[in-house]
Amino acid sequence: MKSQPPSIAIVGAGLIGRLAAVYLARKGYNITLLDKDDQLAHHSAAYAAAGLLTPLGEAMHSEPNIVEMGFESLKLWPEILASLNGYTYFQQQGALMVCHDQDQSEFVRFTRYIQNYYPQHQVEHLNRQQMLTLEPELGRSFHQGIYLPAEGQIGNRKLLVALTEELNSLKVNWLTNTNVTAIYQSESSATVTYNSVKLDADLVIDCRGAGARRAEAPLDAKPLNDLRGVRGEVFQLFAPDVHLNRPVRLMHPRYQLYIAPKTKGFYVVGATEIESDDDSPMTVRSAMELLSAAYSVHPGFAEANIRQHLSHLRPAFSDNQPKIIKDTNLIQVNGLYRHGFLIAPVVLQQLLSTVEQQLGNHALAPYQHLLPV
Amino acid sequence: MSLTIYGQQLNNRMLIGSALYPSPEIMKNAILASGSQVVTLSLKRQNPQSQGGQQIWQYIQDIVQQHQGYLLPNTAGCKTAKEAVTLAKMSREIFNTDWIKLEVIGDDYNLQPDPIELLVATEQLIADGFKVLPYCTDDLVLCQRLYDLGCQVIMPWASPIGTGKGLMNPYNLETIRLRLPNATLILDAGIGKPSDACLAMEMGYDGILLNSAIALADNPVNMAKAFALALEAGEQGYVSGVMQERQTAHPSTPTLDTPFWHHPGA
Repeated sequence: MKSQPPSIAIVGAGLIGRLAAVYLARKGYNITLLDKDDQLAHHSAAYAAAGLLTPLGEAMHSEPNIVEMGFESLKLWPEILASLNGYTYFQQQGALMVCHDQDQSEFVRFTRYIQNYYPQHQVEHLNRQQMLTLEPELGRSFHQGIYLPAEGQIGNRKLLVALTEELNSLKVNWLTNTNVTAIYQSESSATVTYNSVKLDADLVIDCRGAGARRAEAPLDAKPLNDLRGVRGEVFQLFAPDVHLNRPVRLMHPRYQLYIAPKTKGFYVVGATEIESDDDSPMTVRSAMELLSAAYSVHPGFAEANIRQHLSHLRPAFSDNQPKIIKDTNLIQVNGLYRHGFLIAPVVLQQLLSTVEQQLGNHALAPYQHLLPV
Repeated sequence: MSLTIYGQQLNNRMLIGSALYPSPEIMKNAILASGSQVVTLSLKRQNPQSQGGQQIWQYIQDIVQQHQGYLLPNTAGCKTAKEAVTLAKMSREIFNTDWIKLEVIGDDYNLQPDPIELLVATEQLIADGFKVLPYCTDDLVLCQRLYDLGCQVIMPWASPIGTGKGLMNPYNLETIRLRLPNATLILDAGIGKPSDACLAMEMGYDGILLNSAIALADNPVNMAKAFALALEAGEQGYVSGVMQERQTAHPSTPTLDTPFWHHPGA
C-alpha cells in the first residue's frame, strides 16, 4: 500500500480557493493551486470587496439562509483568523444605518422587514444623542439611525496577504499567471490542463468565481452555464478628516451605499450593482453617485484622496445563492455573489466536508441545512 | 378580456419591469405569477455597446418566450431625445423588436419625463419605423400630442417612478381616458398597492405597467399574484358598469316594518 497523501488541484486562488488550499494543506494533502492572476490577487472579487460582515444589513436583498450563514460565519471567523500569523483586523462593533430626512420611509421599510422576518435579532433605533455618542461625526448630520450591534467587518486585503503568507509557509505548490484550459475527470482521478501541461490529481476543486462563466472559461474547462457576472464598482479613499468607527450604510431609494472604515484613515466606499458582465473601468455616473452619496453622509470626504477606483464582477447564479456542485472527482464552488466574506467560513466548512466525503472519509456537514450540497 | 398593443393581442393587462428584484430567479417567478406577457428591460447602464448585459437579457428573453410574450426595451436613464433615439436603435438591433418604451427624463430628483424632448424623440422614432410606447406625465395636451404623432399606446404616470404614491391626480387621468377614447392607455409608474391598479382599471385604463410595487414587496411573487387579481377585479368592475353615487341612503333590503313617515326630522 502506498501511503502518499491524496493530491488535490485547486483552480482559482480568490478567497475560497486560498482558504481551501490552506485548510487542506494543513491536513497534509498534496495541494496544487492554479490561478490566472499573481499572488496579489488584484483581479479577484475578494480584492475589490469591502469585507463587510453585516448579515442584517444584507437581509432585505438576501434569502434567510444567507443571513443565517452570515451570523454563523461571524462566529467562525475569529478562529480562522487566529490561525494565521499576524492577522489582526477583525471588528465586531456593530454597524450603523442612516438615511436623510426625506427618505425616512426606507427606515420604516427596513424596520418592518426585520421585525417580520428576523424578530430574534436585535435592532436599536438611535436618537440624535445616541448617534452623537456612537459616531460623533455623524450625529451632526443625522438625527436618527439604526444600530445593528452584532455586525462587523474584516480587512479583506490584509486577509488575502495573510493567506498568501500562510500558503507560502505551508510550501503549497502555487502556479500563478496560469490559465487552465481544460478539466477532465475519470473514474478514479481528474486532470487539469494548463500551458499544454497535464496535471493529474485525485480531486479537482474549482473556485474560479466569475472566471467559470461561460463567457470566460474554455468549453473543455467545465464552465458553469447558469453563472453570470454582476458588475460592482468601489472607491478606496484616504480621508484623514473623517473618523468613523464602524461600517455605515446609507439607505436611499436609489443609491445603496456603504462606507467601510479600514485602518489608518482609509475607507472603502461602494458599491454599485449593475446587471452586466462588463468589467471595464468605473463610469463617471457611478463615480458621481458613489462620491456624492459619501459626501452627503460626511462632508469630510470632500478633501479625501481617491486612492483607487475598481470595478469587478461578482459571480452569481440566477437565484443569487452559493452552490457546491460535486461530480465524480470534481467539486465546483461558486456563486458567492456579494456575500463572499460574509459567508466564506460556512462555505469553507461545507466544502471541506464535501472533500472528505469525496475522498471516502467520514465527515460531518453541520451546515447542510444552510448550504445543501 | 384582451389588451392590444400595436396589433398584438395579449390576454393579460399587466406590463411588468425586470429591475430591483432580490434575484433573477425571484424575478422570473414573479413575472410568471403575474401572468404578464410584456416585460420591460433597460439596457442603458449595462454597456450595451459591448453587450455587457447579454446573459441577463437572455434570461429575461427565455422567461418571455415561456409564455409567448414580448420584450419591451426601454430608454430609462436617457435625458435627451438624441440619447433616447440612439439607445432605441441599439435596442432594436439587440432584441429584434420595433417596440420601445420611450423614457426621456427631465428632472433628476423626481424623474419626471421631459415632455419637449419626449415629443422630439417620438417623432423621430416613429419616422424610423418604431412602435413607440411613451412614458409621460398626466398632462392631457401632451398625451393628445403623442397620440397625434401616431402613438397608439400612451403611458401617463400615476405618480413619480418608484414612489408608490398611487394615483396622485385621478381627475387628470380620468380626463385623458375620456378625451382619448381610442388610445390604448396604460398607467405607468408610481403604483404602490394592488388597489391603485384596481382603481386604474375601474377608470377604464387598458392596462398598467409596474415594477417597484412588486420587486420591492417583502414577497414579490405573492405581490405579483395580488396585482393580477386586482387588475381582474378592476376590469370586471369597469365592464360591469359601476353604480352611480348618490346622496341619499337607499336600503338594499326593504325595511317593511319601518313606517314610511319615519325619516330623519319626522
